[in-house]
Amino acid sequence: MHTFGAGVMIGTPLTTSGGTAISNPSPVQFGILQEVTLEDSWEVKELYGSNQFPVDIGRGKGKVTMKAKAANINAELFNTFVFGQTVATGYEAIYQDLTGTAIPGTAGGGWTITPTPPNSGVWIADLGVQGANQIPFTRVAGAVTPTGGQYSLTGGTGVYQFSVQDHTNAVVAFINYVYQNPTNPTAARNVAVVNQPMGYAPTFQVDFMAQMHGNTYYISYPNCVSTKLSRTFKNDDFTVPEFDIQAFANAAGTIFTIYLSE
Amino acid sequence: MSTREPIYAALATLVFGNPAVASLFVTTGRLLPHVEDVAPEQCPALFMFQHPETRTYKGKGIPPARTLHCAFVAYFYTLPANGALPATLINAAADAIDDVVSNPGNPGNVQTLGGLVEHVYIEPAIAPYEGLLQEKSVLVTSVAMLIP
Repeated sequence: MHTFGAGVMIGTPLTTSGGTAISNPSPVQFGILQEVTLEDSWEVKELYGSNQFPVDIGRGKGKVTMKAKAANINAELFNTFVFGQTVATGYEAIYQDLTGTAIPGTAGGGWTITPTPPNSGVWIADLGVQGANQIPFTRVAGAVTPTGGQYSLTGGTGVYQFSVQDHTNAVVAFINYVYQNPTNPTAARNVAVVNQPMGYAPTFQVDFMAQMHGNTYYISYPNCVSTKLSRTFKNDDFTVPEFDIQAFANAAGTIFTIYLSE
Repeated sequence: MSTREPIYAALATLVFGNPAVASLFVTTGRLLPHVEDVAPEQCPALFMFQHPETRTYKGKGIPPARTLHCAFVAYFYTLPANGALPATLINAAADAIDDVVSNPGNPGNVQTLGGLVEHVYIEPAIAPYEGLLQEKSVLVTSVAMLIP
């Protein structure tokens, strides 16, 4: 038999990061799977005599690992396999300003700019102001009148105060900030990753299958933990997170069970 | 998914509406006529012309990275007898188009057409065809637009 392609890989959560068993687990698929590597390895001890090659080999510690590259990104996937904490609703994001706003004069609001977050969101935190030349503005206290290249914020309201000089010089301000929306997008989720005692990690089961021409290569790992999550973000390219996973024995002593068509 | 017409329309508005570009051309538009069909009094003329789009696939199931391609084709009319050098007009136009596409004037230094696309850039070339033995010259500026 042969197999072709990256196959299908599904994880089923077993315990939270605190070791609490999950009574009604929701399996999660590694979506848009690009590549899976399954590796079984062992340390060995060789017994040598006077000749070049060992006369016996003893197998030592074993290790069963998986590496999966999956392009689909969602909070349940990350939480099930890596964090094992609480998934909540609510959306926060950075607004990166690439359009800019000319600092208005008296008629336009008295050198103030109040950004309007996307999708009826709410401004919650400042992430700085830049000019078109990428030189950052300096934030001063609210009681201080800004001069050229400076700004202040009125409390936590997201009202940015600029200077007369920058208005006179027709400076365009690019304002970056964090905004939130509790209901939009409706699918938005967040996970606050809290420091956990050493020794604990969420555990899960992994089921993987590859196939071709009706022949199947199915392998089930009943007890696993994640050892690494990598996310590389590149210009002009998609992000494909990489999950490193290691299997260990369940209560019955099983590491994995493999089912093959032939 | 990004739609094509708003993107091409935004690019045309960006370039044709730029004051530096507008000051150099008598005629602009998205319908490219043959160079012989453009009267001398219509020159300098600048037209946008769409080319085939390309796609690259990162992997199975991942949406393609699509790149829209187009060219800004400029026609110039110069009479050798009056001493005008075609290259002078061509270079001024190339500078203006290059500047509006390549220098967006924002901190990211990236032209996104107001967020419609990931990146607009000139590729592969700005190609002048100076009419030394004729009255018409041509400048072709190729533009690529990456959309996710």
